[in-house]
Amino acid sequence: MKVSIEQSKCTGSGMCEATVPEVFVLLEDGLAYVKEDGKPLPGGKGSAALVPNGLEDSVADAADACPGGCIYLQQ
Amino acid sequence: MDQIIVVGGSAAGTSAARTLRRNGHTGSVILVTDEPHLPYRRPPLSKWHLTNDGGHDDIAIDIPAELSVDVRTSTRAVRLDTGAQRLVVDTGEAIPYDGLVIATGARVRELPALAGVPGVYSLRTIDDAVALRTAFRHRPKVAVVGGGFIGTEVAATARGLGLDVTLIETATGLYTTTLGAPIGSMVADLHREHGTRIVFGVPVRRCIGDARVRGLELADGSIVEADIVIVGIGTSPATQWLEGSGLTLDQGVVCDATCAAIGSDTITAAGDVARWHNPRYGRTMRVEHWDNAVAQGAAAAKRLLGDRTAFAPVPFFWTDQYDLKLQVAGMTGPDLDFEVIEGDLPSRQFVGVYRLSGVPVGVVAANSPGRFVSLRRSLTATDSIDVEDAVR
Repeated sequence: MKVSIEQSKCTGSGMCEATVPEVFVLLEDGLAYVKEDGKPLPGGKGSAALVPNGLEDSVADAADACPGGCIYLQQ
Repeated sequence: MDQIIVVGGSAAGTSAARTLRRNGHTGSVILVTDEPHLPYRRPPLSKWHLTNDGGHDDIAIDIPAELSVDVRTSTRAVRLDTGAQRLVVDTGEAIPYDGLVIATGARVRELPALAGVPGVYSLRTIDDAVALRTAFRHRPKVAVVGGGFIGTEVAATARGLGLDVTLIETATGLYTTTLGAPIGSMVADLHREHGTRIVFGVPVRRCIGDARVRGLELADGSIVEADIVIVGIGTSPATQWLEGSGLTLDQGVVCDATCAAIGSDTITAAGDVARWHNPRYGRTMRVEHWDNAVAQGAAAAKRLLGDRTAFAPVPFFWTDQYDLKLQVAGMTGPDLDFEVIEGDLPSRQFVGVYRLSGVPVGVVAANSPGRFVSLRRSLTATDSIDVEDAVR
């Protein structure tokens, strides 16, 4: 599974980071970004991070919990 | 617990259903919703969903098949028999439960003078939003009654489409009971600069027009011309179906700090319908925002599975209007001391703090999402504060 975020719709609520800190992080600009191997990737819907094994359900939950609806999953 | 029913299919209800499964509940989960649609997000309805052609798919809340949740749409709860542990729905069926999550949300308040008049809209459901954006295509003159968050967001969206907009608010300013007059005044200026007329302090007396609305007559006799009227004067918790159930109802389903309905070990409540004791602030609260609904839905589900952790969040919400993004965390209100600590109101880029007896209890950030992150964290890290004590 891969995951990306469309930052233009991000509300900065931080729910994703609270749910799966291994995959999501709020950066200095107050918006959420996806992480791969612990490092934030550039923003944008096309910038997808590979989800570590075992975290798929949590990442799917975070996508549903996201107030902006801006977390995208690709199987 | 064998069978758990979740009543309500929005943010709180879907979060509860998901959480039940994620936390090992193996019995059946039935989710009933009076909507004809599968679950969807409400926050976009007053924002971008009003301006594009997106459908249900664009705002759907996914309930994956592997969670095996029995979702029953167009099914309205009409009565709860807590003695026999049965939920009665509008088909007449009485569904037995071992545990029940109440997440029926809230209903929009109507203005009696305008109720049922063609051309008068409210905005709560996706059908409301589709009706409204269809009406917008005819380039109507728009009157928005109610200057709360929904009213101001819809006014900004309509004006953003180039429509003629008048915003009518009975109070003397915007947000007087929520974020307070200084921020309300800043937001009012923003709307006026974009060409929206605002009328403060005058209630609506009646609707003008026979077959459909042509305008509003206000209490001072003045007339606001309008082809459509959008009423956004707040909501009431949807508890009517619980009357006679024995549950304690007081502007919501009254719950303890674990989201359990008072006096019950098998019924919890979450989201707009729940009034629970938030131990962080030592008072009961009812929060009508997305994040709270999701988090409380999860807490209410865990409570049914035996987790008695208190639900003590720092509430969060945001609003987008034109190029203004306001993010708010914690407690706000006109009774608190408000101070802008960075930036300034006229530039619409600032952060402010709400204090109670000198203790910060809330923060607001305008177009400053980076600063908001750290300020919000500092609130979350603060030990609980007993509001009643602090007021004394």
